[in-house]
Amino acid sequence: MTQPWIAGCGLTAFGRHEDTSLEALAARAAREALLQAGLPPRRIGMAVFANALAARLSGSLTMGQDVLAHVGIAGCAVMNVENACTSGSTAVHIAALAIRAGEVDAALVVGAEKMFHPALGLIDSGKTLADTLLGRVTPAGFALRASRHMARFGTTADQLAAVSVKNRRAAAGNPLAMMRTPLTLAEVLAAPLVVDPLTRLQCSPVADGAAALVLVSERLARQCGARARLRATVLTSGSYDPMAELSEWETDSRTARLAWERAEAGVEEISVVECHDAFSIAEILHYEGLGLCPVGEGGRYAERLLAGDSACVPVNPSGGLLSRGHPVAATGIAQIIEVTRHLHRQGAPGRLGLAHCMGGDKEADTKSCTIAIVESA
Amino acid sequence: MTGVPAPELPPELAAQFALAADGTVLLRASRPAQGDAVIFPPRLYAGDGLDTTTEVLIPGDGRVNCLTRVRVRPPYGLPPGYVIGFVDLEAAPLRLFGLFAPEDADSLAPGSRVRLSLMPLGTDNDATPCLRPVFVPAAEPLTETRP
Repeated sequence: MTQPWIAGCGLTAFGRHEDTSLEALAARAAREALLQAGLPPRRIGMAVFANALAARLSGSLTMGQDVLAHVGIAGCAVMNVENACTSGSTAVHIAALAIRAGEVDAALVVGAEKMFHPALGLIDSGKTLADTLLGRVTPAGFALRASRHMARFGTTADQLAAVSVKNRRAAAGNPLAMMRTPLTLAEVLAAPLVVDPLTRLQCSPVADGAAALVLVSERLARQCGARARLRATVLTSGSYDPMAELSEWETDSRTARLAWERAEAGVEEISVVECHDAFSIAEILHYEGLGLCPVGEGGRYAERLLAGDSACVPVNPSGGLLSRGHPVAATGIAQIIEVTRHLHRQGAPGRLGLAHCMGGDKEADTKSCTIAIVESA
Repeated sequence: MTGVPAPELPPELAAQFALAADGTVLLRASRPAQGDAVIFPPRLYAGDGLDTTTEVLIPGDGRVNCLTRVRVRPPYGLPPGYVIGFVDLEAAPLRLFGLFAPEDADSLAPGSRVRLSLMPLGTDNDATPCLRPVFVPAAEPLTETRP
């Protein structure tokens, strides 16, 4: 079975792109990825386009074909994917499956979102869900997890805030990140409360942005000069256990176990992580779910990361969702690009990095969870 | 007579909650054909054979697991600073998400005993005033004492 290789990456700056259409943003990222791969559009056998909000905000449907026309891709298999925050990483998983199956030699994955829209409002999991009608906005589920983590493990407000400070410090070195001005713990804690105990600076900002990847088979990878491959991609959904303890995230740990199994690797081999820090508490829960630290130690792990403890695995060196911004369907692809670029900066072959994403709320769990293990070559 | 219709449960909530004749708010849970498990939110089918489930109505009494206050602009006409959370039910191993009655929220904490009630609160997806199930404080169950 051939492994999918990353032949090209394209990433726009995340932020406010008022004068650029969604199609233009997506096409810009797709073009960059195709040019880096050195493949003409006719060599792409399959394209997957991810978007989560355009149908709701602007009434646009099945946009992939419209976006791809801008980069001369037509006639091949085209798929449109919506899977909340994992829309982009789900699209990568689908393309990786097609490469592994030998169905195509080259696939283009594009994820794009425009979120600065007057109709956006608070994100929820759908207006037909009972929980939405009962006031469950997205930050609330995470705030409730935070309150449980604090009550059970003694996690402190300072430790939650440490995640935001650390990620903002990292974003200062990322020219594509949306928020790059350093923050202090005091500033994070003094920001307005969104849902207790999460302040505004502990919630990822909405953003416009696009990301694209060209995945190729091993045979084509040599021709393209690809220097990284996807050792594993995993997509799962929540288990919806009605009595699951909110201060632990079983879906995280179950998805991680599957990723280690498929990659034939373990957490001790990981040298960088980009995870779905949509809220400060989310990153703390993901440290534990991914096995970076024991359950209950996530708050202290955040403090160690902020203090620059070299025994810790770097988490979200791009700035994460909290500072890079979170254009929903672009995020999962951007995380894989950031991991790939981080591994390339490290220089040595055979290093592993992990990109983790979660999407949607259902019954106190996530609707989807993805992990991609990237290996530098 | 004003002719204004009385507020009702929105269909999304009516599919999950029922009002008993004595005014008690009940959950419309599901029971699989085999066994005595209780599933909520209700499902159409359950078990390896995907047998049709039957509806079972269970009370919403329980204890607060955790709660939080939402400070951002409230959706659906809910009051500013509304309180939501999870309640561990007494009738079945279920942790139920829900709203807490605004006037009672300050008196509640993890471990507090609550029951489900129904009250006019906010609006539905059509911006029409509606009923919502809310948790309200409940008395501790009487414990038998022996002389």
